[in-house]
Amino acid sequence: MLEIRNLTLHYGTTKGMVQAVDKVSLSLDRGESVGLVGESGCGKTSVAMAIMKLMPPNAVIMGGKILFKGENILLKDDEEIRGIRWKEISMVFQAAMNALNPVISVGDQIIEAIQAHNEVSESEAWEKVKELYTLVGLDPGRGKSYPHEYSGGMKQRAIIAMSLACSPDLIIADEPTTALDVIMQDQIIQEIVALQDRSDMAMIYISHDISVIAETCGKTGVMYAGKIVEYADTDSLFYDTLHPYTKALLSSYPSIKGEVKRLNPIPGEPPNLLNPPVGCRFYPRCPEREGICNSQEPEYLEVRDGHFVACHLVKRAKGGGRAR
Amino acid sequence: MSGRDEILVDVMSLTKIYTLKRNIFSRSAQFVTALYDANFQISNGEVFGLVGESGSGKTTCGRILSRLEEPTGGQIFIEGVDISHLKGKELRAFRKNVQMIFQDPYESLNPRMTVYDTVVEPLEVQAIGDYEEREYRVWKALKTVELYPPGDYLFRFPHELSGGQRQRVAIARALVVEPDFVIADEPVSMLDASIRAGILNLLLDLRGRLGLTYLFITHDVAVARYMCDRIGVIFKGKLVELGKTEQVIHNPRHPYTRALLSAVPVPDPRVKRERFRFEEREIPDRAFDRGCIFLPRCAASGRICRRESPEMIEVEEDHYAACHLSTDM
Amino acid sequence: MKEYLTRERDKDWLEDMAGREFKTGLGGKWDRWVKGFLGHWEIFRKNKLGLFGLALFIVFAAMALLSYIPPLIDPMYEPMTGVDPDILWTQGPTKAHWLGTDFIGRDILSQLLVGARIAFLVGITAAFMAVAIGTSMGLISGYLGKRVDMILMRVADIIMVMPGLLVILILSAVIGKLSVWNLVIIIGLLRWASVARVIRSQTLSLRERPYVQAAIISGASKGRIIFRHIGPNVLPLSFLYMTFGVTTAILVEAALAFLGFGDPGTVSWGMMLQWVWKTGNMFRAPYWLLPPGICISLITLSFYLIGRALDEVVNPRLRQR
Repeated sequence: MLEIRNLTLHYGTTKGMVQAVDKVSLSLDRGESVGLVGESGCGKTSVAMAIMKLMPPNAVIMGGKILFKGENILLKDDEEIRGIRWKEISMVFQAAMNALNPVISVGDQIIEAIQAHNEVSESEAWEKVKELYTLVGLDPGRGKSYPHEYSGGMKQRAIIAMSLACSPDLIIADEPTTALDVIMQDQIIQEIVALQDRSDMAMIYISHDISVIAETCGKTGVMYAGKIVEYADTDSLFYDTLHPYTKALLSSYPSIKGEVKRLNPIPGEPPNLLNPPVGCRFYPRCPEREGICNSQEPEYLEVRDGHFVACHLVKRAKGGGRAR
Repeated sequence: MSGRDEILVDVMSLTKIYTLKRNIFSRSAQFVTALYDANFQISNGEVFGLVGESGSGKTTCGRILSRLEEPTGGQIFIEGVDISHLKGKELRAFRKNVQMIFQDPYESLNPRMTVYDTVVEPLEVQAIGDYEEREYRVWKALKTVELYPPGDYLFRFPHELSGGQRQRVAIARALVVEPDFVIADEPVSMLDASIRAGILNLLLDLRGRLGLTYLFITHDVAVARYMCDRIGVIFKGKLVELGKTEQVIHNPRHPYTRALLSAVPVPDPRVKRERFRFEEREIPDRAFDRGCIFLPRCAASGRICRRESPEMIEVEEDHYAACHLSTDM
Repeated sequence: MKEYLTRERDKDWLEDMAGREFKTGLGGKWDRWVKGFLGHWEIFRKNKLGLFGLALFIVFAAMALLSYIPPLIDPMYEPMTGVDPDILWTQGPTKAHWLGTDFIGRDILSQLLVGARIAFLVGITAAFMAVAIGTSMGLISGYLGKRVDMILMRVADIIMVMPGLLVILILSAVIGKLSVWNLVIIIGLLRWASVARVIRSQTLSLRERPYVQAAIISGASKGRIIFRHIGPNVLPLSFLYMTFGVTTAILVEAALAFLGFGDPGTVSWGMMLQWVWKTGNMFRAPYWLLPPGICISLITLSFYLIGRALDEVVNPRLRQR
């Protein structure tokens, strides 16, 4: 349903072009959920924005396609995109709860969203609001309240309700729970997963917290410095980790289960994307690097069934190329 | 050097109540109780964690222990001295002993001051050493926090440093007066995962090498487990559970702790979590001594919970929980 | 107490620091100021109107400097006392007098140039006073809070509410003729209040920043925090207010002079306007009426535009990408 092919996106700044996203590819079918994990500056939010064509004015698409139901979104004009946005693809942002208009009741804001895309009467829209509220675990009677009368968790649920209002085929969640407390976060994540199971909706879940992704997504993509370095179904990513960055990342998250293991930080800093290095972008910080890593960019290859990696060492060890 | 089992910090019945704007025309005023009757001790060389969600009062506790604010009630003994209401010269002497690291590395450093200016300031303020001595101390502090070679960092400005580097400078600033006790308020929550690990390991190493004692405040239970020897779980201003980290994590006795632990995501797709039910009723601000503070959220309350506020009961050795029903679980 | 830092002088330390210059104090700060200034200049430059304002500023500054020259050429060009023996009344521009002469034969151009000098002096000094007082009050009020804050802000409120011009008029009627310097002081004392309010709110927000709290925890005194931490971060705002303050000061001085309450011994543009008016030459001598009027408008415009451009420098949110 959604296929991103070699998406390359740069940002124009006074200092030059920041190569924020470089040849990113992934695909998503109905009912699938993909997690995009990476640290700040890796480009995951840029990818999400590109899918919805919500990039800031200084963003330039340098190449690639985003095929949604067979059609390239990047080629559509504003009118067409507006038709798709919210109705077929919708998005939940980080701290979106702060984007609620404080002088309009929450219910009315959701109705606005519904009526913008559907020819329904106000009472029909209200019914839908109540339905949505029940779906996300909110009391349907509280639709007429104002944002300041809701707690943080409730607001975020209202935002999720709003994003589901038009029953989209794809929902993009960019750090939807980061601003919330642990218990609230857990409840919302449960809601999202349940909703996704029930409705056959596809989901892209973006987070810097790999624990959350481990629990919610069927497939996971790890991004570093604008590229996807590893992509596989979540179980394989954790139990058959191939890329050195993924391995390092996994060993830097503490857990409350199991033994207390010494965390391994990754020394150094991510590269400057104004002038990215020629070879592998992870080279300076990679514990397993070799000569070739510095001079040649590794190819993004399917090394096992459905498991993609961009690393010279993996390619060599597994005999390179397609799945066995 | 003092023995490891000596109590460095002793907090007794610590209470902090804020008065909101009092209307000149009316007699009544609104109160917000940030902390109520907190009791805990930190041994020399220990990392003690204060775990809670936002608004729980953990940051307030840190602010009071560092004397950014004064407590409304209770006492705090640090190295035997009651620091709750110190003033003047004694307060200044106390400040050599207790330092703090803040959450936001971007706001922890004055953007107009170089790294050297920032780290040397405590020495200037406390009139420690002469000019040359201070130079050396700053240099050594930067080396201690692994900013190497220190000479490269001395004259940079905060905007030239990454988040992790800034936080190291903040740690250097805290260490430069050689305190015994360091309060770390969410020192890594604004840093990326891979950088986080570096700072956490640094803090642990410093504890071992320099013999520091920490109060580690965080909302992240997994981080608390990694760092802390003992933890206290705090809910809406009240300490509800206290004890050795592994005991609290593996055998939680307070319903809030159980709910909290069951809500923490685990970085392992094969682990299924068992979630504890958690009601979402609104908690009114009312007097703390009328029944259990957790009552509106508790899924397992009994009649006594409505009448009496529970005391801390020892449920295991060095493991306490403030719940009437804890012994039944 | 621990002693982990002072145990021995690392050999490392000597090696590492051997070649390095200790860039603290003036050395390091100088570097920073220059770089900072150039950065700000880059931003300022992009604002076309600001550049125009700056151009005007330079013109007037030149005028002020040139004002010393005419009397040196010939005593008859002395603005107050120089009287052309051949002319006894107002006359249009001639070769000897490029802008003509006023009602007793004094050279208008010389007067105009001196007026620029006065405008600058009065404007900048009065504005500086107002901002200096306002910033200090704002800092102290904002940081110390409670009683001090309450008292200072009440005083500020009272001053803000007072109709400035009226007060000055009353004062001058009571005290008698005000000299220019009296005026400067009075303007300074009346205008600090609005600056103080803004600085106070900035201070309140800066007070809660972690680096300030860290300074408190190190044991820094209130004075140190105010002047070392909050002050420098508040100065850009003060600077900004100074440019706006200059426009008001110049206008106040001109208004007073025009109304006849100025210092008769000083030639300012307002004074010139008063003379034109008082001697009934307003419609008969455009060469006399227009130059000072235009100058007042333009210099006010100049400072205002500079101020707006500075606002972009100080407030990153206003900048265009």
